[in-house]
Amino acid sequence: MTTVLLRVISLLVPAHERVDWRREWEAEIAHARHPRRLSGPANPLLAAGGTTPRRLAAPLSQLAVALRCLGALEDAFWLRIHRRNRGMVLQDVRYAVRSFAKNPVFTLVVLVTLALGIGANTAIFTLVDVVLLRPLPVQDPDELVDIWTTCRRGFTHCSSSYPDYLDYRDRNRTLLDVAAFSGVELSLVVGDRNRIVQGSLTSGNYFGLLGVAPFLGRLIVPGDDERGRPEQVAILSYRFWSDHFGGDPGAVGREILLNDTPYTIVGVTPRPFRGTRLNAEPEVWIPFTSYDLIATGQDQGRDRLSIRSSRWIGGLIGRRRPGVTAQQIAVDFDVLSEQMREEFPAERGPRNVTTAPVSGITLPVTAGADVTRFVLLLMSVVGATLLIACANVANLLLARARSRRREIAVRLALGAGHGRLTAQLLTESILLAGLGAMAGLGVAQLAFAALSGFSLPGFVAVDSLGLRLDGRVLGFTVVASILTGLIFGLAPALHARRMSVTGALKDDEAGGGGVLRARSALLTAQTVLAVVLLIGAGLFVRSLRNGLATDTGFTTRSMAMLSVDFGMHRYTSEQSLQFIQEFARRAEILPGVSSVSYSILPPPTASGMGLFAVIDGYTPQPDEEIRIEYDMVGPAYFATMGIRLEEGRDLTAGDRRGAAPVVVINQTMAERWWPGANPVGRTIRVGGPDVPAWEVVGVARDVGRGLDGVPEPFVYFPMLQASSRVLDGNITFVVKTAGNDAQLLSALRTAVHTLDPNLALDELTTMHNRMAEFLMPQRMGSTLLAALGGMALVLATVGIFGVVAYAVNQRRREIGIRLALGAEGSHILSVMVRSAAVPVAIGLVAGLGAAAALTRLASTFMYDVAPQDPATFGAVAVLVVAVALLAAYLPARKATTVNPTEALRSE
Amino acid sequence: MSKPLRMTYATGMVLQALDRGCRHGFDIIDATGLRSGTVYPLLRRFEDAHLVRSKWEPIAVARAENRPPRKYYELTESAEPMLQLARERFPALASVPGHRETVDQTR
Repeated sequence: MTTVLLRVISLLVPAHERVDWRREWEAEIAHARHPRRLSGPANPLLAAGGTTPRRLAAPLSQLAVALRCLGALEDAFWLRIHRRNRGMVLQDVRYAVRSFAKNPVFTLVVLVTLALGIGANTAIFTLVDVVLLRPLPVQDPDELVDIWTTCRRGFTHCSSSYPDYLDYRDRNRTLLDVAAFSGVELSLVVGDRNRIVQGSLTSGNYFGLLGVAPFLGRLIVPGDDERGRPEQVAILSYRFWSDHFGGDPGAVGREILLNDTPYTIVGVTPRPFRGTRLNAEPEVWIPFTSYDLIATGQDQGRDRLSIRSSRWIGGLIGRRRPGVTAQQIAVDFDVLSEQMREEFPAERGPRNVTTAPVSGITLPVTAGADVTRFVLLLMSVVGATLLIACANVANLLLARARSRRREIAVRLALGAGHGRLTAQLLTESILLAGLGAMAGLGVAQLAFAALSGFSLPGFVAVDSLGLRLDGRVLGFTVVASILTGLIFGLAPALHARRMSVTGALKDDEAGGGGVLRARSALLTAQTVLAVVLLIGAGLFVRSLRNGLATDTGFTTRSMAMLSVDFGMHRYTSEQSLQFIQEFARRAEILPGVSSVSYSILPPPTASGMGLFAVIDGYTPQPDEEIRIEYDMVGPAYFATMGIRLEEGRDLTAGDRRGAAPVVVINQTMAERWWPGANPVGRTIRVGGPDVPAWEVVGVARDVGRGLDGVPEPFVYFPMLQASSRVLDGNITFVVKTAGNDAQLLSALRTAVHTLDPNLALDELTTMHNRMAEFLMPQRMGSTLLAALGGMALVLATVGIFGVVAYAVNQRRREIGIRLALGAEGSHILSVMVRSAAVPVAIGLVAGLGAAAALTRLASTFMYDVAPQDPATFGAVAVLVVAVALLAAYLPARKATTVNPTEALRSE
Repeated sequence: MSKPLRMTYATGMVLQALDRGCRHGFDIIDATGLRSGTVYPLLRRFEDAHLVRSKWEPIAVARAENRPPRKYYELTESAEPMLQLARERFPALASVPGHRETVDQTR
């Protein structure tokens, strides 16, 4: 493999040095792969100067050798530029520029094609790099280990408790240290606005374990997280510091209020460090033990750090001891969790502990596989696009080389060497690739802007990944474009080598068949790729449409949502209640608003809150636990959300504390426990048989939560009757409107801030946007694939047009003779169309086959569409055939207008 | 033909490695940690400026190790002033191509 690569690269080296150059590189690589190689100074006397003596070194890996071969490319370029007659290089460049200027359309098409291919690749490669490849910007990232506790239902990647963490840290034998971190939302006054920031509770050893050095001041150190410290410290992320503190070094030492608790800023993290989790980039880090101070709502005063069964810490990261394997760590933690289970039976010691090496950023646990699959899907799609672009450019260059036969023959006849010609053609293609790469970087910047509106599966906003061109990606583009240049530049160069000078001068067309075959093969390849991309696009578009058209059971249009967290602001439940009612009153009279209500967590988000209930009149099976999901909602909730009531009535302002307790249940619940009967008037109890009963006053339609959620029994409690604790947390207002959502959003924001200028809005969005987030992978997939598939189709059309036009031109004389002998124009037409029809037909069949095999890989992202959806496959086939016929027909028609006399005379 | 050599840190590292007896391209890469795409063009520049000369290794040595003969590079006398300049400008060079544990041994 490397030998072939070196041989290709050596074409760049000036001829008189080529053999020596190749021998040198081949010898170095042979030595590097040698099982007993010596490296270091040869002369032991010199070694005394303070270096290693010549010693045995391990053979280089295949990858390391390949990387060094990339250096050979630079070496060859250097020699080409510096060791050859400089005038000659300049001459080549000038000649190339002149020939580009002579064919502006050709040059433009090639450049645009390359720019799109390279630009799209660079943008998506940046994404792949950030998500999958780039190591964490910390010391020795490959020594890091993620630690998870197994939870109920056997799910292995769950949170741990603080006492668990302390035991893992102090009692393991395979890790140097273990640090803990946990995301927490905090309110922070910045300027005159109170805003929600992403905080991270962090153990004192976190930054030390990772080996992250401060950008400014200091980071959190052991000691900062001793419990009961009078002074609390906070660290800002570089991005947050530069966005909200104007990059002012004086920010260090300043005091800030987080959840109304004073903290002192003591440092800023370095710019590349964005935490260790993909979907949770912290803006502020605070010591773990200060959780006591910032805890809100139900956690206030609960001393959560001491409760072993309260498993809420999602981030545990360790650094392994030198020489310890992943296997040994796993065994160590198996033993430890076994011991802990015996020691803490009452507190449910950890069921099991999972450890996994990490070196890059950790993907979201639940969506990690989807993120990987999605990103790789994007990468293969743009990779295919680059292949199409290369095929197209090669096609164009082949056509051009053909039309330059005479020019090349003249130069050969005048004594130009083959090497010189090859060099000149290579200069041209590398120049093209270089210009294309530069334009591609511009395209990549545009693509970043376009991508930033999307998010990956698991709600990872692309915007939050901080995509920007860096050295590695730049390297990727340069290598991609140079390889492209070499690949398509070689074809005409090799062609020139085989050319017969006399034949070419006489304009003998003998070699034309080979070119036509090559171009037909390229056309087939292009068709395959275009078909696969178009089918992918079709499937994604259908999934998106199905997703949007799904009847969710509630209104998704003209609905604004805003969330506030009362706990963060230390509201009492009376204050919260007052705020809720006052805000609803004010929002209701805003222009365009038809109704306002609120809930803890409205759909489409899955509620996740469950309770165990007793159904009066139903005898549970032995061991049957009646678990019901629930939400607490405001008056007129069902009217506002557009959820139809099958039976009974909506909740009203009269359902408040002191009135009879009532609930609304969903259809699934009604059918499960009162099949065939009307549940209105029946009762349920929560927390035991002796507590007061809740009377069912209504049955609501099931609503879709999540997207593929199977409806579960669900009960809606009136928030005004709920215990006061509920009002310490987060609630979401839903506002049904008739008018412009965007205008309404700003009016709602003003309404909130009139009531309490310090209240931080957690989220302010429309239901439409909320739904769109759920369908983001489909949206992103359909947009990208449709764009790229369209581009592929256009490129294939150009290819078809070119092949037929070429065939017509080449067979001009034959057509002339046939016409002279009385052939029908329609016959000639069909013969010419066939020259493109055969390669396109082969490509279509192969493309449909390839798509059938490949779309299965994307089936996770398909929504109500089979990966082999016949309608999509059929539509794409019809589209490709129609476009191909049209693209072939236009140039073929020219054949029928050939004037036999002229065609024969032109020879 | 080429532009005069600029004394960069990479230039200094390669000179230093050559002075300490690393003779082959890949050995210099091993010792300095630089990329092959940096080291080789520098060696070519040195050769053009007559700071190094290159020779082929005797065929017998290569045959004994059952591999093709390698090219090696040696500093010429005219490299001495460049080397001095490099060491003055970059004192850190003293520790670069060596390995710390070996320094301890030789003390």
